[in-house]
Amino acid sequence: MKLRFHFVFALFFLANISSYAESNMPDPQVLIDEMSKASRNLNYDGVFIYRLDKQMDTMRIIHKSGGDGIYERLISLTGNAREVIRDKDQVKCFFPEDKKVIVEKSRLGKLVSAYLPNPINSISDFYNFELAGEDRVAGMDAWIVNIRPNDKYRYGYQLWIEKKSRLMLKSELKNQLGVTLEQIMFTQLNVLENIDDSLLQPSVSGKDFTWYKNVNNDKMKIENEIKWQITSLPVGFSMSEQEKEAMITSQMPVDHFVYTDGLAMVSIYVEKLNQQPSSKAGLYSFGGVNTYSTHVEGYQVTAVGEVPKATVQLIANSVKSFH
Amino acid sequence: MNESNNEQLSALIDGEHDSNQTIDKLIHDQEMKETWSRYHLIGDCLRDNLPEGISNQVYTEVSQALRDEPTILAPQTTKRFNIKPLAGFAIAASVAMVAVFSLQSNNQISPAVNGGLPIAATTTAQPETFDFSAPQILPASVKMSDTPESIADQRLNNYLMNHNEYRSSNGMNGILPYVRMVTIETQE
Repeated sequence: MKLRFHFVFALFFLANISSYAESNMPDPQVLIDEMSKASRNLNYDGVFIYRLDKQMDTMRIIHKSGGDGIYERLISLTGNAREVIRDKDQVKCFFPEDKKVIVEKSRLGKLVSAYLPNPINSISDFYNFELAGEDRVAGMDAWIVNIRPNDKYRYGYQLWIEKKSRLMLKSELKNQLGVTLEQIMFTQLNVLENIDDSLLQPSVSGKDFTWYKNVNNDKMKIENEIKWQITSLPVGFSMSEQEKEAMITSQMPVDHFVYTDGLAMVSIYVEKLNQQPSSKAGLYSFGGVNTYSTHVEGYQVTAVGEVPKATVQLIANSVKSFH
Repeated sequence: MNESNNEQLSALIDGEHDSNQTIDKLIHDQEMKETWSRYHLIGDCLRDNLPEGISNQVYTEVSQALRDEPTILAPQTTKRFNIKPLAGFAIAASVAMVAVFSLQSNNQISPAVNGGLPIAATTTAQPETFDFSAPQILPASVKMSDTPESIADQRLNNYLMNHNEYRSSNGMNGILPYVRMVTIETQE
């Protein structure tokens, strides 16, 4: 009888453990989805460290999500006091050291889907998601989620997601060997009920600054239009956008194709080369971003993306004109 | 492999070994390399530092990766670009890319070497003098030139900035692309 009691007790105990696990351990994919929504929909003000190889910088981000859209301000706390102000229409980059402001069209909220381009479950064919543990960042408890690519054409991510707000507290971009290429880590992050508009104003007026705008203008001539196709892509990449971009260095609009696997994103630019034969061909990299350029029939093809070198190379080399 | 080799390896791992002889041996001796890996594995295990998936061929993998990516290992010549703005938009972006390229040339040792095999990177390279390698500073009045190459630089800058905006509106890490842009300055 005594033995039986123990058995029942043990069963009860085991059942308890598994229900504990079920109710308290979040699904990693759901976590990431919630993280994307939180980083978009919450109001927050935080300070984080950005590390790229041997370089380290501190920045402050202020994010406001109001009824009329998203406002974001990024301020560099180290080195020159650069600032980026984004709203739904414009991105303004202030470079006080040069007294310059660059204005670009904003794409905030322009996409039909939420923060992630594809529902997260379609990505799971190319990445493995796992809950890797718990940690503490910026004084807050966080879940660690590993996103492992299934092939060599993608990078991996390790993300620390705050348990309550679901905001990202730390992120690491990793290559195949697990070497960290880039790192972001918050040291302080406050979720706020409301954010005063004054916090979203640049600290410099920009009155005596030179303002540069890169907007499409209709005067750009389009001649002998050639259709392009990308003939080789790592599995899972599909085209999400295609546009003609105005570029200051080109008289003609540049063909721009955006491909994504739901997580990684590669841009392909095809630009006619006029009297500039010696242009940069080959690989360049900046942190997690790699670029590869090649020449096809008098055009320069460049692939840019947060993917390994092999991927930009493969994609750029596969661009052919379409007859 | 003999007992003294084992002791030398232990000392090396504990950072108590000051001769390069062990390192030289280690580089050429397959058995020692394996022991070295095992010792680190044991250490990591004791310190509860093990990743979920563990490979016992770290050395081979790192070597292979270094062979596959000769560009990051080979010392790169310092690149300086003289950029003349064609038009306003290109200026700051170009400045950014100058920094990007100087950043590249600063990184002669790949993270794989630093992170994966601390012995090769740190112990053999003992500088004679302590060198606070200053960030590369570009004079404010960089002489501008209108060479085809500078136009090509600007083209690449434009692509990067354009891609940034797509990326930041579309990705998980909405701020990261701008973080990159803001951070570039410290390399100037």
